[in-house]
Amino acid sequence: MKKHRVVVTGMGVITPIGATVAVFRDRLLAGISGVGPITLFDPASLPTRIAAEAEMPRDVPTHRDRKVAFLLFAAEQALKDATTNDTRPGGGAAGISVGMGLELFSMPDMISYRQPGFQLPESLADRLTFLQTPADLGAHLLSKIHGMHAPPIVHVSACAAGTDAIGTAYRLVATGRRRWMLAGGSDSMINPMGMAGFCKLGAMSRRNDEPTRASRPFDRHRDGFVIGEGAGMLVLETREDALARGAAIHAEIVGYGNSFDAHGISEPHPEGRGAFQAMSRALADAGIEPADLDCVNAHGTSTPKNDPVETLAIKRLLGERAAKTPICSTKSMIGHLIAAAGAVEAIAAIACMQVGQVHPTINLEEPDPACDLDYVPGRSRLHPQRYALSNSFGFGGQNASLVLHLPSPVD
Amino acid sequence: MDTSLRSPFDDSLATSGEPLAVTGLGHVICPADAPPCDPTPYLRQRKLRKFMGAQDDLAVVAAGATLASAELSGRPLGERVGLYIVVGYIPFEEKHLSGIVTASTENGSFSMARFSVDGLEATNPIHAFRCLPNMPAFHVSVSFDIQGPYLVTYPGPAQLYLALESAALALETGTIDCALVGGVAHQQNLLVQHHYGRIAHPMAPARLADAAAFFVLEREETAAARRAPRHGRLLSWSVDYRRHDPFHEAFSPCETFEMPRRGATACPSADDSQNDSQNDCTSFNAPPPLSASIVPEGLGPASLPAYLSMAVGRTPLLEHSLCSRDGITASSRWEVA
Repeated sequence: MKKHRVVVTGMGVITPIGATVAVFRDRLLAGISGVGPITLFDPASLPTRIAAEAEMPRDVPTHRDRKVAFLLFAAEQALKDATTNDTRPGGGAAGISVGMGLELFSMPDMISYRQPGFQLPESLADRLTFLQTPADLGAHLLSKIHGMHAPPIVHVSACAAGTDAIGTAYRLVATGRRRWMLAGGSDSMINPMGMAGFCKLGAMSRRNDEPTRASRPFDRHRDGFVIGEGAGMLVLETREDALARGAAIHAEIVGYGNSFDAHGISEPHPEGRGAFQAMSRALADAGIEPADLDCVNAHGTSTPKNDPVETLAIKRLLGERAAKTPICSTKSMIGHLIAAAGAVEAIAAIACMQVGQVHPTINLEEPDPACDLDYVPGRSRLHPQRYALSNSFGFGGQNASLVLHLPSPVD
Repeated sequence: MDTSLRSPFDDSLATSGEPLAVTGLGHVICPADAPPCDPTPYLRQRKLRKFMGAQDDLAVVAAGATLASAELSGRPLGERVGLYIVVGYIPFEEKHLSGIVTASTENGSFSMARFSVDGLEATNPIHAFRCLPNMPAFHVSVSFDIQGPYLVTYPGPAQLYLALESAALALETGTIDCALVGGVAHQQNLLVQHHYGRIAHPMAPARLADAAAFFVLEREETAAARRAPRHGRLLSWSVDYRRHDPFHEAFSPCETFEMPRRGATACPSADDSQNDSQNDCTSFNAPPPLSASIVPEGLGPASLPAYLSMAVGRTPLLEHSLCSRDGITASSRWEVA
């Protein structure tokens, strides 16, 4: 039922290692880590006191909820990127599909709230950001700013949300239900409650003395993920529209698949069943065989449970080719951006495809015996690609994968 | 102020393909002070019970009732069933925050030094699981072994139409054979009541219910092939949107259900309550004792599937329309068995 091919004509990012796609890509290829001591607040005695904070340009308007500012910034950048000869995507139903992080909760506000005689702020804007900020406000604001006609879709599928947002947008454009879409994700959980929640779950690295070495996907000595923040947004439109207005095409989205593990609340299915299903569905949707894949941008969180299970699932998917297919983890450098991860990592995959390289997985010094594939340790590599797979496997067993295609001149 | 612009959406975009069969319906609505509903009979993994909050309980009970009505109970549903769910605002009870707040306060102000030690100590990670918006989807998927595609979105009744769009698309493309579509909201708690009290056009706590409801959609041929029960058909639907700055603009919500009578009261109201002392959560096979103060919007994203579920046997047709606080206008027409 796909009527249209869907292409990416604009990309925008804000990440711990760059606030433009070019800088982000170059630092990824150079293996630069964006992890450091937390500066956004005093982490005091939290067990984890490191994070990958985004580089926010000084002239960008701030917002009480950082992920709203990130979203607007990345979207603006993506739309500028998609503008060619003063024309941008337009006409017809256009919408936003975005993975957003949790509602921002403020502990200081909670303490104020309980004081005798407390009164809510007067203005609507201040009231809406007091104590708890809904996660959909940014999406509506973005729709207003960029003149979107269709209601925004906010995805709350945790770590898979960004990939789900892009995949949903792709389907809507492919089937003609939307003319074009802004899709991606934004998140920022580097705040006291966000950090405390993950600390309490024991999910995060405690390598506070060596922050740049803390995120170490597939490494034997990994001890959890590092939280990151940022946003990635893509402009998706039909290939016909893009060609008609002379837009530069970064890549084509050719497949999307998602699945439930239906297994464990915080651990993946031990055989990688859900991950395999998501990847398989994406390939089937793309109409390609596993042998056609040139690279996998892994979920690769640096957690004890995800990395070996993802390895298993990739082996099941690719068979003998698994050992020959480069697999990289963007999280090794920028940490886990949660709802924004899938979107930022899709952009990482596309940007690297465009220059014929695969970025490294850094800090992979002693591979876990259960992780025995080629994860591009330490240094980037020249590797021309036509098809890349980008994975996001979420807490709660929600799995999502995208197949990205770098068109050749004859495609 | 930007005037609303008519979306280019039209019915042909919103409704494509043949009407879809509604083969399952179910809901649970919990009045205030009712005992929490019990999902235990539906759990495949009892060890997960401790991780479940009210929103998870509601979702599993409503999903279980819905799947039972679709004659899909008692077997793993697998890859050909998708889940399209709308979750309400993040719930959190004051009693679970109190200890953390007290342990994080010094001289009347927030102390990161205290929070990072005493506050963290007072934090129960179980409460984090119980409030996350993707957890109802997890618990439904694991309880009924749903491994198919999904959409998990947020936060209100209008988003049910976005879930419906994804489900309809997946059915039309043959990606799935069966879609479980619905909404869940745990609203009788501090955070949600705070939210509804601070917005333009506030809603009083008494008007907010804890609710979950689902329907099962299938293509006609699939429903016929498995001789599925028929509870109705989705005839048409459409969605429109008024873009706005949510920090400075707000819309007055309205939501209506039109149901021609079938010799009985079409829309349950307080007058229908048989037993004023009945305060248990009720599931699909009995009309719930809805309080007169509960309005459709008070059911959050569960409103449409809940009223659809309650309409069975009462009306041949249900027409739903809403204008949401977040600028979405939507409508749908349903044939009801």
